[in-house]
Amino acid sequence: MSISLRILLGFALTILLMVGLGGFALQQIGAVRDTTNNIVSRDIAAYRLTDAVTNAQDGMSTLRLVATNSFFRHPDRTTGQAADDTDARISDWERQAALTATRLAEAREAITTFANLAHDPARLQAWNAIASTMEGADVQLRQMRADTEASFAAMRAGNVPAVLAADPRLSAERAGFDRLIQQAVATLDTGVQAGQRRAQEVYRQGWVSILLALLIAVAAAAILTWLIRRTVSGPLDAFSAVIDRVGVGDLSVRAPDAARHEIGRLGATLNRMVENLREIAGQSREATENLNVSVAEIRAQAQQQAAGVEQQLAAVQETAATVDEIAHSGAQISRRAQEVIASAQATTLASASGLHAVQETGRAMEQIQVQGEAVAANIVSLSEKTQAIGEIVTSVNDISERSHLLALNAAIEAASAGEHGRSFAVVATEMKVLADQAKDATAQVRSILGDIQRGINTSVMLTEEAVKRGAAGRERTETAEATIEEMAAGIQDAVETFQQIVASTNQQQLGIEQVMAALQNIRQASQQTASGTRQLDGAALGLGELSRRLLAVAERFRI
Amino acid sequence: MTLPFDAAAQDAFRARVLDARTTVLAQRGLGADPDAGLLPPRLVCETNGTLHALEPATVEAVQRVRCYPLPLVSPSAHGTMLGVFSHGGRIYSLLELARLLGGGDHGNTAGGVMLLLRGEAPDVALRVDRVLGLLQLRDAGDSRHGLLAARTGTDAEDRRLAFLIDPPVLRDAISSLDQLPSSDTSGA
Repeated sequence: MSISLRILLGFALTILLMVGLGGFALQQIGAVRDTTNNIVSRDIAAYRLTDAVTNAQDGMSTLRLVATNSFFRHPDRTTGQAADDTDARISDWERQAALTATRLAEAREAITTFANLAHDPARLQAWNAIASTMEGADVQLRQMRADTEASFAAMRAGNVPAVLAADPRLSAERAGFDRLIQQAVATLDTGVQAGQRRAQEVYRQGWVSILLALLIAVAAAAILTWLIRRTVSGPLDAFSAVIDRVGVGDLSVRAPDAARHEIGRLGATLNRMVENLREIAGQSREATENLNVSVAEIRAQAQQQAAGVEQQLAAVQETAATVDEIAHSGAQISRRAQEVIASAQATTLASASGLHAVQETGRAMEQIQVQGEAVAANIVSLSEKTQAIGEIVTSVNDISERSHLLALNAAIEAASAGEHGRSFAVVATEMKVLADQAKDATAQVRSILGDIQRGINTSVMLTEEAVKRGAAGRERTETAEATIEEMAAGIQDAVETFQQIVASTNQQQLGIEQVMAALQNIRQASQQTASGTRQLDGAALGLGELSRRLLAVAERFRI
Repeated sequence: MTLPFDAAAQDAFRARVLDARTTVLAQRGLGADPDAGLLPPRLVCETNGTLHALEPATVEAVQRVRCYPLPLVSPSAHGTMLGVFSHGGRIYSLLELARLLGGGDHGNTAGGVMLLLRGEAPDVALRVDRVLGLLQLRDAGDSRHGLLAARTGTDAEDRRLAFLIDPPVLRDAISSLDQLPSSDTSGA
């Protein structure tokens, strides 16, 4: 449902409520009016009727009195005029009595009608009481009419005492009738008061109803207003807040657009607008950032290029200096190479003589080795001989030991033989002495042999060592020989190389001159490049400033 | 006269030996006849650093050590009996003198000389480290323990103490070893 329709509906409902309220109020007012009118009209009618009855009855009483007076003026009815007056008065009274009866009947009828129409119980009760009183009055009136007619009959008959006797009665009856009528009037007053109360009651009810209806209508109107406000003002407030946020640069807000009415469509439209703004701001920022980055890169590149150009110039300077040095050193190299060639040739001669000497040394070493081996062989044979001597000594020692044991055994036997073995004991003792001497001698020989053996071992060790050293020396000699030969070959190679170096150096000099010319060209080009780079850097700086300003502007929007 | 060779008695024995040696040394140069109090020559041998003196009549011969070790010996003979050998058609058992007399373990039982004992079966030889020979001995004054002074060198002052071994004591010690091979081949 659209907002306009809702608002229209709201207004329509409000109007209906107001109309309803007005109608209800009018209806209540009408009821009050009707009630009041009825009550007043009926009461007035009742008052009039009772007045009419009272007046009629007064007229009736008056006419009776007139008639009575007329009678009493002419109590005997001898004359015709007097009789005619009395009859006329009686006729008048009769007409008045009929009128009174008629009025009373009308009053009774009206009151009965009022009673039937009465809604209020008090009023009804009052009407019924009045009707009852009127009924009593009617009875009283009939009685009065009857008595009066009797009195009139007496009058016609000229019965003065009867007439006189009827008068107090008639007066009392008339008083009674008046009382009844007054009672009816008093009751009518009560009824009037009841009617006033009724009217006030109806008015109060109507007032309360109207008030209640007014409150309901106000509440309903308030609810409607609140609903409409919620439907309309709430989203509008939200939109207002969104637009405020957008105004300060916050593009990240979003308006409510879920509803399917004008407000929802307005929200969707607002969102699209903010979206587009956000996109534009984002693109702008992105572009500005890219521009910033590119500017930074350009500046960096320009600076790098400037630094490179500086380096290039410095390198060119250095290269020129180096080339110059190379040129000088090339000449030096050439000179030195010539010197080296001369000394190499001298070295070759020296190495040849050295080689000869080494070869001589090798041969001498070989001879030493051979002699050493011969010495070793002699020593080995000597050792073998010594060993043989040792074996001999061992056997001699063995013999001496056996001799010793033999002597011991002999001594033991001699001791066992006692006196008979005394001379044998001498022999045994001599044998023991000889055996001990032999043992001592063999011990000495063994000791000497030991020394000889140790000396031989030492000689063998020394000879072996000498042979080993001779072999090692020969090895080294051969190594030295090979090294010297290698050196000689190397020197020859070096001589050839140096000759090549000299030739190359001469060619190098030519090339260096060309290089110098090229360096000069490079230097000029580098200077031009440096000046161009400076201009580029200046332009990049300006561009950077511009991009920074743009970025500051783009930063105002929060995406 | 018994030879004390249990551990506690050995200490007392050593003390007595030193005392006797001191007495002998103290008597040197006192003008006494160095040859006075000499006993009949005894065969003096050395084993495990100790000198023992045997009567020549107990020894039949002296030879170099040669024996064949036996694979199984009785527990009492283990360590004492070194093996067997033949001599003159008879089987001799070779015993270690030091172990036989209860002198503890002799580290080196190789080499040395054998003293073939004279007497009845079983035929026994004693191994000693060396035999000094028939030497004149002098009583060292402690004959209770069989201590005799023996002149072991050429110098009159060079004396060492030697134990005199009683033949019965020796036989008892040999008899305490059972299962000694016998050269009796009557039942073979």
